[in-house]
Amino acid sequence: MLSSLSFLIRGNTEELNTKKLKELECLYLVNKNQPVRNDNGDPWTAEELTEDLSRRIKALKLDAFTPIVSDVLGKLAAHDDALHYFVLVSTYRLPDENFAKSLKELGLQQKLVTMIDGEYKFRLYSKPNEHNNVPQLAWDITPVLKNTKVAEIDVTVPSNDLSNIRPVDDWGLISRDFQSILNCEELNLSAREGQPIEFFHLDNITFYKNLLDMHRGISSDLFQLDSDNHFYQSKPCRVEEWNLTTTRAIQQKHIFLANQLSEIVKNLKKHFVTSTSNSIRLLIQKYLIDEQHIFTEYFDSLLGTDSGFQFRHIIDTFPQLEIRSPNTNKFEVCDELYEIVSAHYHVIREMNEIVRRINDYSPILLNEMSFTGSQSAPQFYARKMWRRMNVSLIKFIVNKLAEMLTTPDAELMELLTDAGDPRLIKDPSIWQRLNPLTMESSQCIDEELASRVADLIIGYQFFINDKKNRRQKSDESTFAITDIQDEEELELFSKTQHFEKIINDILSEVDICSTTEKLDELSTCINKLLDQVPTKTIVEKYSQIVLEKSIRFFEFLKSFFTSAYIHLKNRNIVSPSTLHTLELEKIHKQGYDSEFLKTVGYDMKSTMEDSLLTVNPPEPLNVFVSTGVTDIYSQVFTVLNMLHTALDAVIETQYSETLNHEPRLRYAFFHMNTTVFAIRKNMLSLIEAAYETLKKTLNFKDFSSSQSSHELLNVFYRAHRKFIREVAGALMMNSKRGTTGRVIRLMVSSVTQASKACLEGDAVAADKFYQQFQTNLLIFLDQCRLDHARYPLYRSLEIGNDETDGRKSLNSSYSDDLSCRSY
Amino acid sequence: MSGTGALMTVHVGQCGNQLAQAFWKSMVDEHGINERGQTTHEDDMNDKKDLLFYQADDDHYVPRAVLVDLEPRVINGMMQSPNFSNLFNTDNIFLSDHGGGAGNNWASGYCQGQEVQEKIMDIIIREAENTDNLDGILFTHSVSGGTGSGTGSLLLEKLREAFPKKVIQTYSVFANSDTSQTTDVVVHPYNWVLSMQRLIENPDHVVVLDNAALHRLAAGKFKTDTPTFDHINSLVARIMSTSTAMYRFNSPVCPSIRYLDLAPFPPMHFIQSAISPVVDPNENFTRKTSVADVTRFLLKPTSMMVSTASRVRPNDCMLSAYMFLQGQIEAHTIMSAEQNVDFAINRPPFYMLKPLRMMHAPLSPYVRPQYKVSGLLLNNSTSVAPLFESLLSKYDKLRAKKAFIDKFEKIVSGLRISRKINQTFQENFTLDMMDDAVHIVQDLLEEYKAVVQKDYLTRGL
Repeated sequence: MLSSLSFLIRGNTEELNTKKLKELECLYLVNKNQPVRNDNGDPWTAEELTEDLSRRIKALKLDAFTPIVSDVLGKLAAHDDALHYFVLVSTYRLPDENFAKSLKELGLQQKLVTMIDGEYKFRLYSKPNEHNNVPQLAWDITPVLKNTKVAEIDVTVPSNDLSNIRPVDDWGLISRDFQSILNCEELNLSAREGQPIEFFHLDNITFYKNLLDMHRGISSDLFQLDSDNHFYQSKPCRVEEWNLTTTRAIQQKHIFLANQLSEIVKNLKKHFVTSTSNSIRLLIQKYLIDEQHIFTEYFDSLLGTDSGFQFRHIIDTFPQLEIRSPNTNKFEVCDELYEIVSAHYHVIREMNEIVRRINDYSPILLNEMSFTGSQSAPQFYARKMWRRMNVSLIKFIVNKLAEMLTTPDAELMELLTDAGDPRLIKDPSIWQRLNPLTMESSQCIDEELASRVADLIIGYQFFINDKKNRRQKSDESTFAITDIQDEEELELFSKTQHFEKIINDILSEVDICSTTEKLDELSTCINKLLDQVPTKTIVEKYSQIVLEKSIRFFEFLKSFFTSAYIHLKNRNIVSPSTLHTLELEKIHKQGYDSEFLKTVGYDMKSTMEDSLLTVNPPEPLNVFVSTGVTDIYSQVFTVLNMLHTALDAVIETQYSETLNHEPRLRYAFFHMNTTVFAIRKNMLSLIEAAYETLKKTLNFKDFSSSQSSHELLNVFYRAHRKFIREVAGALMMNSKRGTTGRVIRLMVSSVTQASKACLEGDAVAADKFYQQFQTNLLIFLDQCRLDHARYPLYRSLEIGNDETDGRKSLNSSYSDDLSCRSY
Repeated sequence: MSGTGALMTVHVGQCGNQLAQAFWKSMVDEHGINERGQTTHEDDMNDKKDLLFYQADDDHYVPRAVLVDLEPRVINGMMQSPNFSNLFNTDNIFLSDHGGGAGNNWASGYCQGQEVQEKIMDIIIREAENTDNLDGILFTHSVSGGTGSGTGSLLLEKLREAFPKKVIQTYSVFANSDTSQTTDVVVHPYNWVLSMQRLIENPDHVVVLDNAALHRLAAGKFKTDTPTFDHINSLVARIMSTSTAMYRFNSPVCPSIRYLDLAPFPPMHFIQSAISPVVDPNENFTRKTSVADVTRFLLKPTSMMVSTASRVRPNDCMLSAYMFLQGQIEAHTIMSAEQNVDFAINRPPFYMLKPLRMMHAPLSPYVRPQYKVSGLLLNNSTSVAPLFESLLSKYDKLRAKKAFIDKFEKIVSGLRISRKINQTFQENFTLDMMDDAVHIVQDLLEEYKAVVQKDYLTRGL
C-alpha cells in the first residue's frame, strides 16, 4: 500500500518511510473524515469532487489536460476507491496555481502532453505510468500533504435561520449557539425595542476621522449637529471589535468635550472685534485664530491628509499618534486625543476669560501667566499653547518697548500705566514724578528693570517732546536744551531696516517650539534692546545736562531763599505773580542765577505778613520743587526775613540818643541783637550744614561710573529731599509745624517795636517791649527744648543761663530744669 | 535801609598808607583783579567786588580808597610800583603841597589837616556819593606819628560829622615801646593821648593794633629777629581781610558791617584781635590745623595782639566778640566748637547772654588758602585797658617832665606865625587839649572798671 501510494504521488517508491507513513496517515484520515463538506455539512462525494475538478480545470483553462486527469482518476476509481477519494480531496485542497503549474510540468515530463507553439496538446494514445495498476499522478499534491490539515473537516457556517438553533443541547443545557445569541448586544437591543436596529460598524480610520472632525466642529454621519449646534451620536456605533457600549462610553466623553469646546469657541467669537486700537486684544485674537489653525492642522496631519501645513514646524513637534496603524491600542489613542482636546479646551477657556476682561490684563501680566502656564500646565499640549502665547507676548513687549524708546508719539499706555499722581507710586523716581507712569513687574521682569525701562521711556519721551515743543513755542517755558539734534535721527532710526534687524536679532533666540525654563527670557531681551537702541545714550546725554542744571538750581534755591531778602528793599510787597521788575533787577545784580530768578514769584495767597513764594522752573526741574518743598523754602525765606528785619531794626538804634545815657537799654538792645543774630546764625548754619551734605551728594563726578546720569537724577532728588527735611528741621518746622514761625514773629515784633520806641526817644516803652521780647524768647526756648538735636545750639540763649557758676535759667517757664539737662 | 552796602577805605599817614598797600594787595588777589583793575577769573556769584571796588566807565575795577599823606614818599612809592600804578584813582590821592610831613607831631598833623581837610573831605564825600549804599568806612592810621594821629584825628572828627550813621571802623596802630625798637617817636605818648580822645569820640570800632605785640608775634613766628614792616603789614592786612570777608564774599549770616555789634557799651569799642595760625610765608606750613586748635589758640589771652594782654587780670570780661573761621570747615564743626568754648569765657556779671559769636567766614574763590583752617578773633574785652593805662603812665612821665612839650607849642606857634592861622583855631589848639584828652582817657578806664561790676546797669539809678 505504501509503495503504491508513493508511486501514485511521485512515480517512484524510493522515499523515506517516515514521509510515506505521513502520507498514509493523510490517506486514512481523508477517507475517514471526508473533510470536504457542502453548506449543509454533508461530505462531498467522489462524483461531486470530480465534477468540481472538471469545472476547475475549465476555469483554469487547462482543457488540454482533461483527458490526462480523467484517465488517472478513471484508473484510480477502477482500482482503489480510497486512493481515488484521497486524490480528489487532496487536489481540491491544492491551490490553483500549484495545481496548474505541476500539471504542466509533470505532463511534459511524463510525455502526456506536448507543447506546440507555446500551447499544450494532448498526445494521443499516451498513458500515464502505471505500477500494479496504480497510475502515477500527473500533478503534484505534496504541498498539501505536509501535515494532516488536508484531512480537517470544513467548518460549516451556521445559518441565520433561528429555527436552526437549538436552544437546548442534547444534555439539556443551553446550547453554545443559543448562548452566543443571548450575548449579542445588538440582538438584545433590537429585541428590547421590538424592532430591528441600525448601527454603524466602523473601522478604526473612519472612526478616528469622525471623532477628530467632531472636535474640529465638522459633523459626520456618526456625529451630527442638532439645532443648537451641539453634537450628538446619530446612530449606535461599534468600532471593529469594540461593542456598542464600549464605543458609546468613549464617544460620549468625546462628545461632551467637543460640545464644551465648541461652546467656548462660540463664546469667544462673540467677544472678537474686527477693528480695535487695543493691540493686546489684536494680539490675543490673532493668537487664538492661529491656535485654531494649529489644532486643525494637527488633526489633519494625524489623519494623514498632508496638504501644505501653515504651521508644519510646530505640528512636527507634537506626538504622532499612529492612528492608521492596525496595531495601535485604540483605548490609548482615544485617551491621548481626549487629553489633547481637553488641553486645548482648557487654554481656550482661560483665553475666553481674558478676552472678556481684556482691560484687566496687561501684557506683562499675560506674559507672566503664559510663562507659568508653559511651565506648569498639566498637559503637554497646553504647555505648548501657553508657550506660544508667551513667545508672542515677549515679541509684542519687546517691539512695543522698541517703539516707545524710539518714537516720540508712541502709545505708552500699552505697557505703562498712568498712576495719576506720583504719590500713589511706591518710591517713585524723579521721572515718575515728572510723568507718573509705571511699568508692571512680574516674576519675568523684576521691579528694578521695570522701573529702569519706565524711567528711560519717560526720559526719552520727555526730551524728544520737549525738543518738539521748543521748536513750536520758542519761548523758554520748556526745558532749554539748545542742542538736541538726535531727535530726527532717532525717529528715522526706528524706520530703518537696520532697526528691524536689531529687533529680529534680539528675538531670534526666543524659540517658539522649545519649552524654556528661563524665567528671565523677557528680561534678557529687554536688556539686549536697551543695549542696542541708542536711546540710552541720548537720554544719558541730556540727563547730564539736567544734572548740571539741577546742581545750579539747588544752589540757586539755597542761596536765594536764605539770602535774597537781604537785598529786597520793601520786603512785604505783594505783587501779583512775579517779583517786581525793579526788585528783580536789583536782586539780579547780586549775582543770583538770572535763569532761575525768573521762575520765582509771589503766591496769590500771600498776605502782608507772609509773602509766600513760588518757584516754577521749567520741566524737569519742577519735580524738585513740589508744593511741600516750595512751602518749606518759602517758610525759610519768611522766617529768615523776619529775623533779618528784627536785626535791622535793632541796628538802627545804635546811634539813637536814647541809648547814650541808658546802659540798661543798651544791654537790652545788645541782648535782642545777640539773640536774634544767634537764632538766625544757627538756622543758617544748620541749613549750610545740610547743604554741605547735599553738595557732597551732588558731586556726581566722584560717583562710580556704574550709575548713569539718568539714575543719578534720582539720587539728586532724594538728596534734595533730605536737604529739605533738614532745612525744615533747622527751622524747627518738624515738631510743631508753623508754631516756630509764630513765636519768631512775636519776638520779632517785640524787637521792632522796642527799636521804634527807642528811636522815638521813649525809653519806657522800649523797656516794656524788651520785657515782651524776653517772654517771647522763653516761649521760643521752650519750643526749642522739644527739639532734642538742636536745643544745645540754643541753650546759650537761656535767659540767666550761666553754666560757669551753675545758675539755672530762673526765668524758664519750666520749673524743673531736668528737661534741659537731659538733652 | 537794608542789603549789603559798600565800604570805603581811608588811609592816612605813612603807616596808614603802608597798611593800604598791604591791604589792597591782598584785596586785588582775593577778588581776582589784576594790576590794571581787570578781572582775572570768571566771576563767582559769591564774590562781591563792588563792596570795595567800583567799576569805571571802561568796566575796570577801581578801589574805593582815599589815600592821604602830608609827605609824598610812601604814596609816591606806591604809585610807582607796578602793582598799584594803574589801580588807584589818582583823584583820590591827597598829598600835601609842601610835602614836609607832620614831623611825628600830632599838633602839626592836626594843624596842617585843618588847612586841607576841606579838600580831603571833598574827595571822600564825592566818593561816598558815587556809591548807592555806603555802609561804612575803614580807616587805617597810626596813633604815634604825626600825620596818622594828627590829621587822622581831625579826619575822624570830620568823617563822623559828615557820616553820622555810617560805621567807622579804624585800624589804629598803637606804639607801645618799652624799648625804642618798635617806635622812633619819643613823643608818641602825647600823640597817642590826643588821638585817643578822637578814637573814643568818633569811630564805632577801633581795632587796636599794638605795634609791640605785632613785632613780638612776627619775631616769634617769622624766622627773623628783626621783622620788617612788610611782615607786620601782612599781619594787619590779614586781620583787615578776614574781618571783612563776610561782607566781601556774600555771607548771609553777616551781610554787612552794620550787623557787626562789637561795641554794646560805647565808648568801650576798642577791639583786640588775634589771628591763627601765623607762619612765615616763606616757610612750608606742615602742621595740620583744626577748628578746635584754632579756636583754643584764639581764645588764649596771650594770643591777643596787645602787648599788655599777658598781664591777665582775673576779672577781665569779654563784652562782645566775633570769631571768624575760614577754610574747609563743616558747619557742624563750628556749631559744636561754639558750644564747647562757652565755658572758657569770662563775661560781665550782669550778662545773660554769650558775648562770643563764632561763624564761618567765606574764602576768596580765586585764592588757594594757605591753611586748612584759619581764624580771626575780634575781641572787645576789658583786658585792653592795661595797654591804655601803660600808655597813659608813659604820657604822665613825659608830661611831668614837660619833655618835648615845647615842640608842640613851637610848631603850633610857628604855624600860626607863618600861615596866619585864625584866632578860633589858635584857641582850640592849646595844651589844655592834652589835658582834656587825658581826662577822657581816664573816664574810659573808669568805664572799663565799672563794666565788670554787677551794678553796672543800674548804677546812678
